[in-house]
Formats: sequence, structure tokens, C-alpha cells
Amino acid sequence: MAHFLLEIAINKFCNNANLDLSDLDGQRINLKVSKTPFETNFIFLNNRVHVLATDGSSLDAEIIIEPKVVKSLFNKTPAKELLKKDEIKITGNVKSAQLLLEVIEQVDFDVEEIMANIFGDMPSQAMIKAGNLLKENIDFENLSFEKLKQDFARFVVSPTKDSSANS
Amino acid sequence: MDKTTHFGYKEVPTKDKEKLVKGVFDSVASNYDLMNDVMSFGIHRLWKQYAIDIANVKKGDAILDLASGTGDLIKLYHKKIGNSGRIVSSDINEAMLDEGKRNLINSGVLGIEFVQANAEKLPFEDNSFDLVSIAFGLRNVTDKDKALSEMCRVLKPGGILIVLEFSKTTNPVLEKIYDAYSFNLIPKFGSWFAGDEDSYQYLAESIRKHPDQETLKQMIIDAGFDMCEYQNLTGGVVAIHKGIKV
Repeated sequence: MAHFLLEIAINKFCNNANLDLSDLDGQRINLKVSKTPFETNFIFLNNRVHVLATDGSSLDAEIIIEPKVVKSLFNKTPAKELLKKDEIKITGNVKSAQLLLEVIEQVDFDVEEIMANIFGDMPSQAMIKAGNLLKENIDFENLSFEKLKQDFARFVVSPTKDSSANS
Repeated sequence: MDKTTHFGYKEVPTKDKEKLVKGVFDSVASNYDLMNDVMSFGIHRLWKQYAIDIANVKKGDAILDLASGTGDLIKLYHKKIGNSGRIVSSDINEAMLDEGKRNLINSGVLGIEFVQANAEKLPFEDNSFDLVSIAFGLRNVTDKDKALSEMCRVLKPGGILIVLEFSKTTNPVLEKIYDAYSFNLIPKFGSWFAGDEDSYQYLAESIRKHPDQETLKQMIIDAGFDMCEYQNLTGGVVAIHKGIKV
């Protein structure tokens, strides 16, 4: 289920951003969020993205995303900036990495708009609200999976910094 | 001796199956949409919508929908791409194709090509489509391997095959309920709503004779697709297989 949903979301995002993926045709890419278990492989074909099983088959490039990208995205940091600050790292064979770089640089990461396009206006507003609260409560700079779990538990128990003052 | 194949639970000469299936669909064509809603409690619309989402249709795509029937998928494709690409509605059965044509025109869906064709011998050139779909139709095809090979042939490199079909339930409790429902209620619904119990008995039987998820996945790979993934819906009552021709 998650496999197909992820694929639908990525393709909707690429469509809405009007990304031309044709130069990436046939490229197999690994996407990882560092310090978390999230990892997936995908292939570009016919201007679409297909999520693949992570079966160790040969890959052309790897994208590593630092967890603090989440915070940067909510702050509407441009993709070029994220690449410059190494919050998004691309490695692999030179040609594939360069092609990927060119595509990612075209992207306008407006989280609110992306979510609205994928999920619809109302759910995306709720998610943005939750995201903003998470942003305030979670230390993205020094994130590890264990710490993420602790921060999330803290967030669930006390969702705003001044919740005691409001209650 | 004649080769045989299944027609529901009956073994029939292979050469006769096409005619027998035609008989079923000639009989059910006019009540097909109503019966789908009755039998699935309307859930078939959600399954179809999800299949379209998985297909990742894009403006300008060339799309072939096989066993297109009353045109449910065509409506959804048209909603996504309008007249920006090419949408072909194909069915072996003339009565079903006519029903689809009427439905689509009544719904204001224009610019669709209608082609009466056997999925085992598609009248299209190699590498012509970005997407080929077949929803609740593959189990009625006599030579499924041949049909899948044809689907692969007409797809462009990078093209996608979507097969939406009844499958094997993954939960033994659900399986018992589903069996009781399929063999007792569905034929009765056929009799009450469409005046045709036998055709709906066949539909229930044909679901059980259809290959399970893993077998169909292997058949898709064997037909020439480079990748295939599937997802069960409603506990495996239905599965969506997605094949990719690299």
C-alpha cells in the first residue's frame, strides 16, 4: 500500500511542478532520509517515477536528505539553497547526479501548495498546522531516529510550547 | 482431441469459450452498471479510481482500455487528460461496446476511439500506448498469456499495464463470507435485478478460476514486462497488478 501511495504522491508532485523528467529516463535512484529508516529506490521511465523494491539492484545515483530539510521546507528555503547547504546530497555517477541536480533545482518546494495538490486544501491545512507545531517542538538540527521518537512523544503529550499557559 | 479450457467451473473446448463469454456479456450488457453497483455495494468505483491513480496518467498520453465495457475507466481517464491525448475504448463484445459508447456520449465524454477487438490479437502497432488497462476483463479472456503479450507489444517502452481483477482473499474468515456471498447471493441478485441467474453464476465461478496474485504477477513478467508489482484491495477480493515495460 505504502509503495503505491508514495508513487502516486511523487508523481502528483512532479506533475504539479511541471517537471520534465525525460532526460532522467531509465535512471535508477536511491532516496534516503539520513538518521531514519526511510529508504526507497525508484526508476524514471516515460516521464514518470516508479517506486521499486530496495533489492540491491544497481543504481545510478543516491539522494540523501538530512532530516532538517523538513524545517527548511516549512521556511520555504529554495532547493538551490538546500543543495548548497548539503541538506540534500546527491552522489553517484556524474551524469545521473548532474541530471538529478538540474531537476531538483527547478523545484519550488512550497510545502503548503504541494500538500494541497496531493491531499486537497482542508487536510493540507491541518497537516501544515501540525507541521508548524512539530517544527517548533522538534530539534531538527540534532536529529536521530531515537531522538525523533522522544521528541514526537513529547510533542504528543504537550503539542505547543506554551500549552500549559493556554490550559 | 480438442484442447479445453474453463468456462466458470465447466471444462469447454477452447474454441468455444469466446462464444460462451460473448453470450454472457450480450445478456448482461444493458444491466451491467446497475449490477456492478449492486454486487459490490458501489465499491467497484473506488477500486477503479485507485487503479487510475496508480496509472499516473499524464496529459498527452495514449491510453488503451481493454474489456472497456460500459466505459467507467474511460470516463476517469477523460477527466484526467481531456482530449489532450488519445483514449481508445476496446471490447471484444459489440453489445458492451455499444453500451459504453451510449454511456460516454450521454455523460458528455467525447473524442474517444471505439475499437471492437480481441485482446489476444490487438489491431494496434507496436509501441503505440503509454498505458494499457484491463479492469475485470482478463479472467474472461481465453488465452491470457497471449493477451498479456499483446498488451506488452502495443505499449511504448516505459509504458504501464494496469490489471484490475478479482483475486484471492488473504483472510480465511473473509474467504468464507465472500464464498457464501458469491455463490448464493450474486446469482440471486442477477435473477432479481437482471433476470439472468446463469450469467452471474458464471461470473462468480470465473473469479475462482482466475489465477491468484502471485501467479498473475509471474504471467505478466513472462509476457515480457520487466517489472510487476501488485496490491490487494478489500482483503484481496480484488488486486491491482502494475506491469512496466522498460
